[in-house]
Amino acid sequence: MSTDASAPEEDTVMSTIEKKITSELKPVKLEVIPAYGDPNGSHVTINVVSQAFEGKRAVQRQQMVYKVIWEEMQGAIHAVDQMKCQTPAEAGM
Amino acid sequence: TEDQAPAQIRSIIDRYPIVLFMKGTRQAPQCGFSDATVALLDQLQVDYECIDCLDEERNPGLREAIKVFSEWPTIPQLYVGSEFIGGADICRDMAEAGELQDVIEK
Repeated sequence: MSTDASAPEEDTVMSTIEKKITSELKPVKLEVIPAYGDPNGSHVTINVVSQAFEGKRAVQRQQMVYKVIWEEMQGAIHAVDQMKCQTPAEAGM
Repeated sequence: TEDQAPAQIRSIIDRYPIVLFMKGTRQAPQCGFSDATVALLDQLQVDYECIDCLDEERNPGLREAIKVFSEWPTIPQLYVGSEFIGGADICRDMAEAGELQDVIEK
C-alpha cells in the first residue's frame, strides 16, 4: 500500500475506502486519490493492483471494488473519476 | 414495490437484446455520462431500448433497484443479451477497442 508524506487522518472518507479495499482485496499496491486533495471529498480516483483480479474482466473487477465500498458509494462518494484494476502481472510487478 | 423490482428488471433485460438504463431519455439525456453512452450506441447503429431511471412515474424505485441488481453504484448501465456490460467508461473503452461491437454481434 502506497502512502505519501501527508497520510490521511483517521476516519476520513478516503482512509475508510483505503482500509476496506486493503482488508478485502489484499492489494499489493493501492492508490486512493481524492479529487482536489479533499480527504472527505465526493470524487475519487482508485487504482488497485491485486491478485484477486486474476481471470476477471474489467467490469467484474470494478464490481469487486464497488462491492467493498458500497456504503461510501451510497453517500459520501458521488463519482469515481477513474478506477484502474490490475493484476500484479499486468502492473509489471 | 421493492420485492418486485428485481423481477421487473429481469424481464426488461430479457425482453430487449440491448438495453440502456440511463438518466433521462434517448432524445433528452439528463447527464453527461448517459448522453455519451447514447451517442456511442447511436454510432454503432444498433437497435436499443432506453429506460429512464429518473422517471419515478413510469419506473418507480428503479434508480436504486438497478444499482443493487447490477452491483453497480452508478447510472448509466448497459445490458447486452441479458448480461451487464458496464457503465459509461467501460462502454467507451470497449467501443474504442472494438469489443463492444463484438459483444453486440454475438
